[in-house]
Amino acid sequence: MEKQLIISIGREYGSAGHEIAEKVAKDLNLPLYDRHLLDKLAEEKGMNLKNIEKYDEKPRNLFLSRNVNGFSNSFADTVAEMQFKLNDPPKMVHRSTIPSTC
Amino acid sequence: MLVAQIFAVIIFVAMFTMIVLDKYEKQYVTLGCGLLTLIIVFGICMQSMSAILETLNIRSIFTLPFWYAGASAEESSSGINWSTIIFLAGMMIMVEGMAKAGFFRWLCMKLAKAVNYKPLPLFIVFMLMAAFLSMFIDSITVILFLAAVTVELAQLLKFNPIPMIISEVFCANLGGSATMCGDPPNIIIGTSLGYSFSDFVKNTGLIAVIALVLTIIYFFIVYHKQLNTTNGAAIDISSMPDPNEAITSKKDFAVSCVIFGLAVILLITHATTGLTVAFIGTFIAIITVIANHKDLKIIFSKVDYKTLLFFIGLFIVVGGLEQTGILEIIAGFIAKISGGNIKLMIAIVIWVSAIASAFIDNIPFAATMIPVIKSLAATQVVDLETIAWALSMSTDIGGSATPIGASANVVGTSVAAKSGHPISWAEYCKTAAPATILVVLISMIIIFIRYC
Repeated sequence: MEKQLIISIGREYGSAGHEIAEKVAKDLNLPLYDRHLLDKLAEEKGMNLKNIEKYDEKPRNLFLSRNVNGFSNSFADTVAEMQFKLNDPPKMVHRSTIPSTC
Repeated sequence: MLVAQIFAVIIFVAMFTMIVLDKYEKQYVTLGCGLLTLIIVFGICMQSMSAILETLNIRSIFTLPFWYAGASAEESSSGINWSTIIFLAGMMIMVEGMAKAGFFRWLCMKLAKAVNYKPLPLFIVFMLMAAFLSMFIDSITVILFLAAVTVELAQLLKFNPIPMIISEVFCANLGGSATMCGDPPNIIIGTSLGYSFSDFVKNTGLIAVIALVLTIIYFFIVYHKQLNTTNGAAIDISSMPDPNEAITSKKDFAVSCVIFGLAVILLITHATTGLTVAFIGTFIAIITVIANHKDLKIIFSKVDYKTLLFFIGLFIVVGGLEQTGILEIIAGFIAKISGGNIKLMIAIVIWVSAIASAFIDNIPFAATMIPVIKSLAATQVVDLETIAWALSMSTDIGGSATPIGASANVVGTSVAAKSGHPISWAEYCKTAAPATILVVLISMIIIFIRYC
């Protein structure tokens, strides 16, 4: 697997963390993963945001889900995959990522 | 021998646990455990070269009965079942050729058009198609295409795709039980015990057809209200995708249809022609390769080598249990509990297999159970064929009960979730578990009436 550059930015209110994250992402040409991703996802898939939030950044349940040829029936996996796909146009599959906690 | 037995069991349990935990890819798990079986169980504990050779079973490939035999010719059930692996590889290559030509999407869209895109008739037609296609093609491929088209049509026609996907998955698993090549447990049972395609059709096929009729009625009763969403509103057929758009090349499409037809004919007639499934798989693969010689890279890159390697490792680990006599002990235990009562013994095999298959992969389970039912039949009054059909139906159908029971369920629920329709365990089991119990019960009753 290609090496990935991941920059995680934590912030406090008023610190302009989100703006900094946007600038860093732009300067380094990295995708920005922030909370708006879930809103976008909910809108695109016509789903309830709360239902998606429940599974966001959650590990999959090993005993209640299985993986077959890359198809997982854990919704936590699906939510993660959908988020990566939203920010990851196919022509730039292997580029680095910059997750932001803002 | 006791030490060898202990190690064989430890390796088997470790393999199963690692498959469930899904931390490492399944083929590495079974191959790693297979290697440990060869080294520790056969090499160090048993110091038996013959056990290693018998389990690797490579010699069998170079014998005439492996490729051409009478229908009743029985293959060695010990060790790696190369017939299953070669046949599956051949069918995988054929299916990739068909998928490349757009066959599956075309068929789904054509049927949807034939019923004028009305959700309720679509619901029934797709269930029938899932069952029919799964009789010859692996259910993962069938559901992959069918669920994708279902989601697409559900968006266009504004209905909830979940009921349809759950029903399609159930019918795909049921259809797979009807034939020797429909579901991996059947192909393993057929090649290990020497049953032909028509043996399966006449026995499990009959049960599956009866169960399919009842299943369709059941799902119709359960879901018809949810699917009757159009309220008589006219559907604009012109806005629907054209089935012919799915065909990438007319020539490839025609060729893939001919190859599929040929595979079906060869399988149906293999008891008469004497051609084994290994031969059919190889032959179909060769003609697919010849027909698609320009796109071999695409076809071969999509063949599921991981599953084939998974099978090789699995057969070695199960071979460890078989060679050390563990499976005979389990058979003896089942015989003891049933106290010689055939019906009780069959009921135990059916329900234990069905419940186990609902939660764990039914392929390793069936592979493990085959030597068990063989020794049950050898020592008890029960007929091997009867108990083989019981094992086949229960492992194939049991997997339908939960979202993780069978591969098709995982793929179907995953496709649904990716389209924004996650299916929870509760939602899945609410309809699929009663349907599973119903079909397992019907299978048991038919087996009791017909064979006991």
